[in-house]
Amino acid sequence: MQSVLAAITGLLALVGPTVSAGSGILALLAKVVPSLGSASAVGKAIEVLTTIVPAGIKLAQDEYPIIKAIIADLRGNGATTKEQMDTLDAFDAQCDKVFDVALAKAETEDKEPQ
Amino acid sequence: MNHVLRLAIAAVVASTLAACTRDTQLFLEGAHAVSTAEVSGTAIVVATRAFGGAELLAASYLNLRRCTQGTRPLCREASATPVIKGAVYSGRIARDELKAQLRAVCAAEYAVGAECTKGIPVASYNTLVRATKTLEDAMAAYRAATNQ
Repeated sequence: MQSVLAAITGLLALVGPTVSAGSGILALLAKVVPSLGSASAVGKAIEVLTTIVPAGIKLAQDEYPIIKAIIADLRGNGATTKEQMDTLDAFDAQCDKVFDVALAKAETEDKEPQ
Repeated sequence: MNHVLRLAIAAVVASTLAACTRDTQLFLEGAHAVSTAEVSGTAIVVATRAFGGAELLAASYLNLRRCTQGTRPLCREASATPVIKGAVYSGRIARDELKAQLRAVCAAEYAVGAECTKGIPVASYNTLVRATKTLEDAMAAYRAATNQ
């Protein structure tokens, strides 16, 4: 099952989270997720899902139930590890920094007369 | 008589449409938020990473030039800045609360390198999910407004 997730990750890296790629990969992920048995496999599935979810603003509304079902399956799996939490902290810090720089630039520009 | 009948039909159609719109809205709002008392650590990881993705998208939007007559369509609306800022900041508070709660609840398991399956109270989780959705909706609206 890990190899299927690795293949999905590779595919995403190749085509990017476009609308059509996101749709197909969501369907595939929905089939794989119920069979995941380890925290590392769940972690990999989360990585794939969260690569697609930000592009979710472009997904059709009928794909929300698929995302919802995948999250429900992952939630049923339940387990987290300290490593996942540490990785998450690093990811969050990175996102916060990128956003703060962009926000400061935008706010400075917004104060200037047009 | 015909006039009265037409009015009655129009009233029924209008109320049906209103109900459909409300149902669709309720479904979408409920798509990610949950009504259970607790959520798992995995759900928190998923929601937190989704928020991070939305935060990065928002950053890429804020990095665009401010919209003026000459900069459309690749530009950002200045009015979006406070909306995005508010959603990101409220999401960060909820996210940090959730992670702190998860680490506290799972401290014993994490100390010995074990997996933790304990649940976390749902309040901050739903706040985080709502902040992510607010951010995504704002981004979609402002991107649509500038034809991106």
